[in-house]
Amino acid sequence: MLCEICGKNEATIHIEEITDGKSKTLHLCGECMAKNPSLGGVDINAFNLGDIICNWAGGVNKKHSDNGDNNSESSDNKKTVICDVCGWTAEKLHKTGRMGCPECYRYFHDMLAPALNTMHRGITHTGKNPAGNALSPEREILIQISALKNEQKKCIAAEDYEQAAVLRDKISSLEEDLKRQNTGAENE
Amino acid sequence: MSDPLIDKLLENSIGWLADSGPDEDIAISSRIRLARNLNGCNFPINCDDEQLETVETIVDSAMRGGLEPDWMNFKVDRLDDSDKMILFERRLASKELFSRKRGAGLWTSPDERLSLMVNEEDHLRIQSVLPGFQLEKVYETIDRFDDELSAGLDYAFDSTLGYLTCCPSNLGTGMRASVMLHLPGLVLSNQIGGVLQGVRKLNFAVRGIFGEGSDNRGNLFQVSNQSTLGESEPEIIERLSNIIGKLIDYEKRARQRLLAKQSQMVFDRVGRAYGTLRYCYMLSSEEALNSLSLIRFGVDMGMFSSMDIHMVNELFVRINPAHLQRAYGAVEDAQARDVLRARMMRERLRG
Ligand SMILES: [Zn+2]
Ligand SMILES: [Zn+2]
Repeated sequence: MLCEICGKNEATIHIEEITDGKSKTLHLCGECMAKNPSLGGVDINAFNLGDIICNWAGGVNKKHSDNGDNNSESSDNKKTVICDVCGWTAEKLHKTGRMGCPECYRYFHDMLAPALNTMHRGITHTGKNPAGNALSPEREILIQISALKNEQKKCIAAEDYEQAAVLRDKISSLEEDLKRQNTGAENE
Repeated sequence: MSDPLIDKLLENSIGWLADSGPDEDIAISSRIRLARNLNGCNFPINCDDEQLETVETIVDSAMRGGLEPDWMNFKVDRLDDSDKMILFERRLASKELFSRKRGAGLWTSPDERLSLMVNEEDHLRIQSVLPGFQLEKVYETIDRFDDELSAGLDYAFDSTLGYLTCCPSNLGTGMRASVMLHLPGLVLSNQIGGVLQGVRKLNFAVRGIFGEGSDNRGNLFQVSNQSTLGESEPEIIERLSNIIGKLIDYEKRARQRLLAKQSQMVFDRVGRAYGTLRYCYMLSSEEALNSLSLIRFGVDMGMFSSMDIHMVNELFVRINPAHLQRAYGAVEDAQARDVLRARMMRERLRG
């Protein structure tokens, strides 16, 4: 079955919507799903997460090759990524939509980042820490930045560009702080 | 062979169905689960039996360290099929947990309000459930338990990505919060489709509890958060609670309107459902769910002064195949089960 949006790719995602008690199924491909987070409001577990992740990663890899770097590898870049810790491969990630071990997040980070942005409301954890794991100064700054970015989004949506600019400056000053923190830690 | 602990579990009433909670006429229960994993161990999907057993040993010893002695522990490889179905029907364990041959288990408090699956999709899936609409209280409970556990366990955690989970859709807080809602008013007045679509547009997941998709039996719906990263746990709960509060409001208004404009239709439906359950000799699970839903609606409207809403709640679980089989003995086919289901219902409603 072909994707109902682009009509080109094979539909691998099937979203069921209920309208007035009648159900209607929308069939679409991973690429169109990734491009249309507004179709969201659907259960992320109900379709193949692996497709979304890898369609995004495919796009990312293409961009790299356009820039001319790593031209020789770029086309099957995503197939060659492997987690040195547990042996999980990009192919397995594609097939299951799952990671193989906690360290996989380091190895597959670039593949995953765009998909995380679609799936979640932010890309920085601002919630609890394991008990006894005190908040590091670095994390405190990250959390502040994330909160300011949310605030900034709201301002832009409300067309309050003045306030948005103020927030932007605050964010970049915090990002400077973060850089200083990091280099400080490396020099120790 | 059956695990004798299952019988002990069956003697208890199901805490989150049998007790009272806020807004319980519409919100049946509030549930939160946290996904946690151990540093230095592969996720279960990438483990062999031996690795799974290592994880289980680590988690079990942390559990034995700090728990009240009356918690129950089940090992999947020591359960028979009927035991597994009982745990599944009580929403304590998932089919994925049972797919593991070794190293998978379940811990639960006797009232089933707090439980832990070991080696499901993640090393730990902690779950807390309370009756009615009280997500903050559920979070308080599960947060404290998670802190106690983490004192003895080295959780996989990243300062930017939060709790590292097998599926990236759980990353960050690892938290899925949900409320089970009974929405017969919105269903009977044909507003449910539009309302649920609105909820989905706001990026919350909605699913029927019984049956998939449009085949929504029992008018029971579960609404949960989808995003787990970028917001703190209290922020997620606040956003979800706001939408649940609105849904409860809509349902109340739909019920009032039905009673004001179509009371005879409503009384007729409820009365017929009661007649069915009270006098039937064969009862399919679908008919049971739909009739129970109407009776629950009738109880909320004061049509049955003698009937208790919590008994109706528990019947939603007790009409399922494994529970029926435990109560009345094994039967050979679905038709024989329909006979048992009808018998149980007649007995319960005779009171
Ligand atoms: Zn498409
Ligand atoms: Zn790995």
